[in-house]
Amino acid sequence: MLWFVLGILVTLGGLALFGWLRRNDLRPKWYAWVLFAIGLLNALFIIEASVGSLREDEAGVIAKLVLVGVIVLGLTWGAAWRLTTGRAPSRSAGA
Amino acid sequence: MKKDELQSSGPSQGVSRRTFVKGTLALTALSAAAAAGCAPGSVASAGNTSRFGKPSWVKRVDKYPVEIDDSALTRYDSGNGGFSTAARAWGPDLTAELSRIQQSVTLEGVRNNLPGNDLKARALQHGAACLMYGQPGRLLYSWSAVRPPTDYGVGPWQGSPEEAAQLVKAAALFYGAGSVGIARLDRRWIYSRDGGKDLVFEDVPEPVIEDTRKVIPEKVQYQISLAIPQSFELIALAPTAMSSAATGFGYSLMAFVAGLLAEFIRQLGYVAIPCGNDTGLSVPMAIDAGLGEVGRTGRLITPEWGPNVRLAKVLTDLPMAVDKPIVFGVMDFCRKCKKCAEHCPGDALSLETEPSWEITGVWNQPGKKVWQEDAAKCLKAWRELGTGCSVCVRVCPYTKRAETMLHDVVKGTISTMPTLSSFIAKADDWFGYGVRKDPDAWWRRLGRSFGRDGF
Ligand code: B12
Ligand code: SF4
Ligand code: SF4
Repeated sequence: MLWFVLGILVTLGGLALFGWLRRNDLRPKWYAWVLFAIGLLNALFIIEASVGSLREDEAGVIAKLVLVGVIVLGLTWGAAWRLTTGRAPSRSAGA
Repeated sequence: MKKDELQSSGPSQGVSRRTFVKGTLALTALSAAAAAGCAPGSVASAGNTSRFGKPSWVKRVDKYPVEIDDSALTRYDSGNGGFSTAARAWGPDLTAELSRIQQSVTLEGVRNNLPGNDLKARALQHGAACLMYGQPGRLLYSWSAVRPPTDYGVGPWQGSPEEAAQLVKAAALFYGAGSVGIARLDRRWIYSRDGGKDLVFEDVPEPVIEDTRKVIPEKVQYQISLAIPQSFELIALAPTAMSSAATGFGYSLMAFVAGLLAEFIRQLGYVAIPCGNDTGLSVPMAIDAGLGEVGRTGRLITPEWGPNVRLAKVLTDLPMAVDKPIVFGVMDFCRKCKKCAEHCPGDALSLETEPSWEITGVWNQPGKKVWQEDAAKCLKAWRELGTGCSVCVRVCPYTKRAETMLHDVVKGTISTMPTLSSFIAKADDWFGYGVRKDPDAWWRRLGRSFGRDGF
């Protein structure tokens, strides 16, 4: 069930991302895609581990998992963004 | 008592920034690999692997990598074990004092309603252990058929050793074993004396318990080792009476599973001797049968439930295909981890990096290079706590419920990339694993039935 819901979310997110890239005429390099994919897989892994930790009665573990996950996500997606747009994510936030 | 007193919150925290950065990088690589399904530890299911075979990071080996010196190793007299000899090491005064302490902490827990040691906790403990009181050779542990096998006129079951192994494993899992393995019976692990009786092998058709001897037929050349997972939720409450309920329930299940499996084999027309703690050394026998590796505690660490299992065995003359021992990096990880020894309230476990030949007392069987346990110190802690402790099981990084593939990935990494072991041991603390939980919360949550919350 978890993977089914995540699958739908990832598909919808992917479609939105492709649309946005086309509208802004952006063509990410292959290595930006690799970084993006690593970030995405990391996010899925952290979600799976957090749900599992809840079942294991290890709620305390979740906060730390999310912390590590957010750092990894920030690094990989931040780098992918920068490689694609040539700008740092923070400066482009309102663009 | 040090680090893990009853009131302590558990493992110490503290990971340096360097370790954290190293770990974040490692986790990135691992999470990417895991989510892509190509991690070293990825298996079809994060749940019980035993029914589907072992995970990919478990290797089968011909020879188990523990050094044994056969010139020093002789069959062990169970009467030299800690339960019989610790009092000698303590001396009469300390022995009397420890009995008094045990009684007073037990009463104090019940009378003052201390969480985990109150009346309902003691009731849970004693209820759980009800079946364990079947003594060797009696009740479920009977050495002869409970129901005389019916004579169908076809003689004993016939089939190949592979078919026999398959039948036995299917039956063992059906009766409740978590995992099951088969090995040739290595007589070095059979006690020379047990329960005050000599254990001998003789050319007799049936096993028999006499007044002074227990006779095992020469034709009994196989052993089936059974791992019985314990409740993770209750072990997380160690060292209270509630964690003793987990071990007590494990003991009851041992009798149940071994007893039923032995009867199954007898009904096939063969000899079967179900054993709990009696008759032989469960840890090396389980290693031979490929159920796990030995850790710093001298206890079996399984790939599925870590050390959080009890072990039972059935000896038989039914010829079966045997399993090989397995390795998955445990001994190497234990060199770096040491969590059990650091948190042991009795200082009973070795903190040395390397295993040793040096025994700590008559309660160790000489001739094997392992981390030697000090049984007198362990039992002293049990008396002081008024329970069967289990802190070393609770804090072990291998003691994990398999609800997320995170643990599978970590165990796979330990097995395939030992250079990350130190980091993984520290990260286990940092994430907050192994911390003692609130005993009263256990009653509010209706846990999984049959104590199988990690199964
Ligand atoms: C007596 C005993 C104790 C006594 C005394 C031990 C002693 N050395 O005298 C005490 C009270 C200390 C004890 C404590 C515990 N025990 Co205990 N114990 C036993 C018992 C009944 C007999 C073992 C024995 O005869 N030891 C005497 C000599 C042989 O000890 P030793 O030389 O030091 O060898 C030890 C290990 O090195 C290993 N071993 C023996 N030979 C060989 C050979 C090789 C090659 C290797 C690698 C290992 C190995 O097994 C021995 C275990 O004591 C066994 C059941 C059984 N029949 O095996 C359970 C057993 C070993 N204990 C068990 C457990 C779980 C515990 C505790 C965690 C208690 C608990 N709450 O559950 C603690 C852990 C202590 C620790 N070191 O970490 C489980 C282990 C399960 C597992 N995962 O492996 C067993 C199998 C009981 C069971 N029903 O499942 N135990
Ligand atoms: S059971 Fe024994 S060896 Fe394990 S932590 Fe407790 S006192 Fe130490
Ligand atoms: S706590 Fe660490 S050192 Fe102890 S048995 Fe478990 S892995 Fe080995």
